Amino acid sequence: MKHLLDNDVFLAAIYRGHALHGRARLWLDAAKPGGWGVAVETYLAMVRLSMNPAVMHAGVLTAKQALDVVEAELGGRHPGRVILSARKPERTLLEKAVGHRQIMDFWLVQVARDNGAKLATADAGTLANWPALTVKVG
Amino acid sequence: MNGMKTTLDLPADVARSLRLESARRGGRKAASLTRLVSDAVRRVYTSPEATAKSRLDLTPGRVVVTPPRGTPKVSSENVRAALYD
Repeated sequence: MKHLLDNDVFLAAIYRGHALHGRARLWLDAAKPGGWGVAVETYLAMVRLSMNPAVMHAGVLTAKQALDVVEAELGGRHPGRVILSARKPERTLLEKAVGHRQIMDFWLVQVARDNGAKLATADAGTLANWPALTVKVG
Repeated sequence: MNGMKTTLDLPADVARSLRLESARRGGRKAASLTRLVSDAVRRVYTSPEATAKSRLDLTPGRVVVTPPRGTPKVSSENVRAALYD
């Protein structure tokens, strides 16, 4: 697996209403043959986001629809892996976080690294902090 | 019916309009007060946005969820706020 998608990139690739949809979809389609996946946390984030009216407005999905969406995207010619990390979060990575929002970002960086992948993200802070462990999308 | 039972205090002119409309449609059996009020509320207060749904293309490996027309775009910042706050 070469790439692990972060929550925002996974949603953007699937959801046409995301500002980065076009670029994220193109990027993911090109990246899939090299091997890709999402962490369990991102799988669940996608389901949560799809059911959240603050994100989807009138187009919110039911839990069943959201799960169908994620499972269908993980299928196809180049199936995606769902990574359940067996390791503890590492202090050396997480203590670099500035603010609570970066904790999950940096955890995903670790999950990617532990699985020999790079984290695909559009987040400037994550890209700046971990240039060797991330790739820019969008 | 999974509805809400309630009491309405209608102005006289509205009550008269309902009676007339009910009579015009064939009486209470054909057009009950409940039915007339429900039809009117659906016509006036149900916006297209409230009934619209996302369209799902579940092609394996290339899923696209298309929001209803007029749905505001979501940014990466919106996503972060929804997940982490």
